[in-house]
Amino acid sequence: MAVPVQSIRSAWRSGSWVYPVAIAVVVALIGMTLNPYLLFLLTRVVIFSMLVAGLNVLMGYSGLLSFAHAALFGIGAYVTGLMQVHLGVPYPVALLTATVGVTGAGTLLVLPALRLSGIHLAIATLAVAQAVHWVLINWSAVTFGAGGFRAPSIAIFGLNATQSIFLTSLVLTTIGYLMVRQLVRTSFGRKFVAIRDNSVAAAANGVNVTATKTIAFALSAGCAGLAGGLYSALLGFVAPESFNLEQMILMKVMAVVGGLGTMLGSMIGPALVIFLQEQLRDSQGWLEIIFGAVLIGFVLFLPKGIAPLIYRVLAGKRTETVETGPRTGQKVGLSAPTDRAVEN
Amino acid sequence: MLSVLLASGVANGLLYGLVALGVVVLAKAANAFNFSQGDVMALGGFVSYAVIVTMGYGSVAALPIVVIVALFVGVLSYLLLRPLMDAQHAVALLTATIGLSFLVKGTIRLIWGRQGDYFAVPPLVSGPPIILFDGAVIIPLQHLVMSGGAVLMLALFALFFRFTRLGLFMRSVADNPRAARIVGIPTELVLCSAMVLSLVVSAVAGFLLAPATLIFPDMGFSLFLKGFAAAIIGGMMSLPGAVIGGVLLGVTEVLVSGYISSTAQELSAFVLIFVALIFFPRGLFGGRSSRSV
Amino acid sequence: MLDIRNVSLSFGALKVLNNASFSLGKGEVLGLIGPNGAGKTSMMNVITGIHRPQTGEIRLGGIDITTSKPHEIAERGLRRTFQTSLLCSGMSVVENVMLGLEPQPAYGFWGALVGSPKVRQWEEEARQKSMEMLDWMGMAAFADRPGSSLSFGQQRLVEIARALVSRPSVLLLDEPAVGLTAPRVDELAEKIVSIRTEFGTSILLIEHVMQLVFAACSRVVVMNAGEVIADGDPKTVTADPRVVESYLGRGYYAES
Repeated sequence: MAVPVQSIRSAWRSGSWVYPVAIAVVVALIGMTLNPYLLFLLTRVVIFSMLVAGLNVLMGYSGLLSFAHAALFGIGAYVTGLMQVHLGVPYPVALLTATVGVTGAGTLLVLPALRLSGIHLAIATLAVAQAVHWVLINWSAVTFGAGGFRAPSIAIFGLNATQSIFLTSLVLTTIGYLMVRQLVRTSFGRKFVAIRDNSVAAAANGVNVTATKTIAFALSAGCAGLAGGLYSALLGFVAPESFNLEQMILMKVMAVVGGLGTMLGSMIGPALVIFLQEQLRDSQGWLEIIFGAVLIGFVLFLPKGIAPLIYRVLAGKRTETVETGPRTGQKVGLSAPTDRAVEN
Repeated sequence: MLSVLLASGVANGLLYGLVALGVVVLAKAANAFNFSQGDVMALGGFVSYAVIVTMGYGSVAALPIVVIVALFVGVLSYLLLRPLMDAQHAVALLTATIGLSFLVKGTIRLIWGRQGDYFAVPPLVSGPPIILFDGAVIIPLQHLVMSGGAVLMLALFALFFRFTRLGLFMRSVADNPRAARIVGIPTELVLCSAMVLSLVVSAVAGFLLAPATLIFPDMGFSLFLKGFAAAIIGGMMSLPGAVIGGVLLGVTEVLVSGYISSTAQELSAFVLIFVALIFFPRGLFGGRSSRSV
Repeated sequence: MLDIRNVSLSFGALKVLNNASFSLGKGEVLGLIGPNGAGKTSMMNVITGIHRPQTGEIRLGGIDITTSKPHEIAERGLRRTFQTSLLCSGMSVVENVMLGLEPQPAYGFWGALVGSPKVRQWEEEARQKSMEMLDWMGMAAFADRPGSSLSFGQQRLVEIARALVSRPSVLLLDEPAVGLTAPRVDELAEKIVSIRTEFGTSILLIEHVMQLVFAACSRVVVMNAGEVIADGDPKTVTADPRVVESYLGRGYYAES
């Protein structure tokens, strides 16, 4: 083969920013040639990649379950849209406020819940999510109720609305992705994995478990808020049903299908799920049936998702899986997020 | 007013209690939670709609069919999830049951989705409300039937655990899973029964609930949430606690809806869940949690 | 270094620790022995802040740590290993050891997010230090393997490396010799002794394997039913009739 696979692989693993940026540039070039409908879908994939990258830090790396992220995503969209509608604030300011606000609100809401773990944490975040959804529907004076409202779109460099939000989302997602990937390769990534694998031992080694959970949650909430703000400008129309529990489950499917605990999976999952979702848009019931089956199938048969398979292709190897016994010479770990053993 | 509210609160609460019973049974026997319980409850409602309205048979015919469908779904769920039913796979199992919940909901929508948004099932019995103390206490008959059915189910449950061999097996697995395995209790059978029982009890709750409300394919999740909340309030490990938790939740809901605002009713459940989880993680009767890392 | 004063702990009606007191001197290797259920591991959990005792106090280097949280205690220079030792399966061996350098990072969240030079430098140094520690434990060859792929004995050595890498003043070892063969136990005893001589660490060792206790410890505390029943040098303590009765068993002398 002409392309030196080995060097691509090591550059990818070393955390170099070159390949993600190169991929982003290619995506940008392809995107600008697409028709508005396909570009709209591609932009959704880009925005959800940002969200799932954050979710991955929480679910994949830290092993925490959250049902609140669709709601946080929604708060991001509502704050961004409503600040423009009610206060006439320019989009960048609204977007920034939404990101910071959702990070803060998400952390605050979940702070008491962080004493909990496992299913109890999941249910507590579920209650918060349902409460937020309730507020979006019933506080109509501000949120325009169940019917939703028109959110302003954006225009940059004389491009049309979809192209503008596409490029904006792509740039922000690429930066966000690189930053999150950088973070999980430092001491923070080790702390996340440590509280997932063995929180008692982590604490005994000086890891502040509550603080680490809070950071993981705040980070993923920030990603959700930013993604939500971008989404409001893409949709042009914000309504509660875009952020309900069903959306949360689709986000979970994205994370699981892509591969929990791998950053690459954060891009693959959304792409596959959104493609499938488009195919099934008008089917009564088949959407739920197929996504339900996909979720169960992946959990049962491919619990590490698709990303490890791609790493394996890049690596030119066909064997190795981490759970099965000791092997020598195999690199694993945060600096090489391949084939991670994730109990999920 | 108050008595009508309380009657419907207790009736709804007993149904939440039934779902909570399913949650507790599965939690005790398999240390697992099944998100599809709420959707199977919805399925119970839809099956009884099909039998009573579409096919035109009576309510009496609906109940056994609901139970058979739930048995079928339960065994199928167990066979599907069996590889995940151990301690290492707790989170994976939970995720898979979310998938299961989607599957059941999708099936409901596939079968009934084209026929409309909301469905009404006729009352199990019709008649004037029961009026006691010269009208001071009014109990709608519908609620009385719901409560009666729920109490009957609870009694059957209690008898099952006390007097049958399988019930005894399940109790011993819940007490000490390792010891139970060592003395040769068929763990597989116990896990399967727990899964099936928790779904059957949910489906029957759906059958009882259907005539009192409008049913729709998406109704399941919030019902599971309420059942789960009831189980938490009751301490998660106690069957009577689950029922009491359900009744508390049901009564709180109707009181909020009656005296504060009907839109706040849904919210009250979530607030109660959050408060119960944070401040009473071992249930209202279990005391505050001790410190852990 | 470590003073345990009149500590009691109960779970409901079950009294696990009953007015137990002992202390660990600077640079000492102290063995904590006793029958199963004597409260040894509970003692360790109380010291490391996993359980909070109902009465009594615990001081580390003169500072009261009775109500401190586990990570705060670790921060003060007390580290431990666990009886059922398990490395984090999602990290390589060397990353597991690097975890032991918590909570040191000289960089904050934002630095880590953008990958500042300071972060890279710290990470490199941390890896270096951890590799040296692994090397010292004789485990450097396994550095890049997943934590879960090692045998239990190997994981335990890595766990000790993780506990030691931050150079704690006190090290608590919970049954490090479980499942080791006799020659391996001797090696472990040597390692424990040289931890003390090389790093000046005070060590509290919970152990059933008397071979290790005799080889490594200069003093022994015996617990039974939550109480400290003997405290002294190994020879004297093992001759104590109460200790023989409750723990070592009457056959002990016949064997030795």
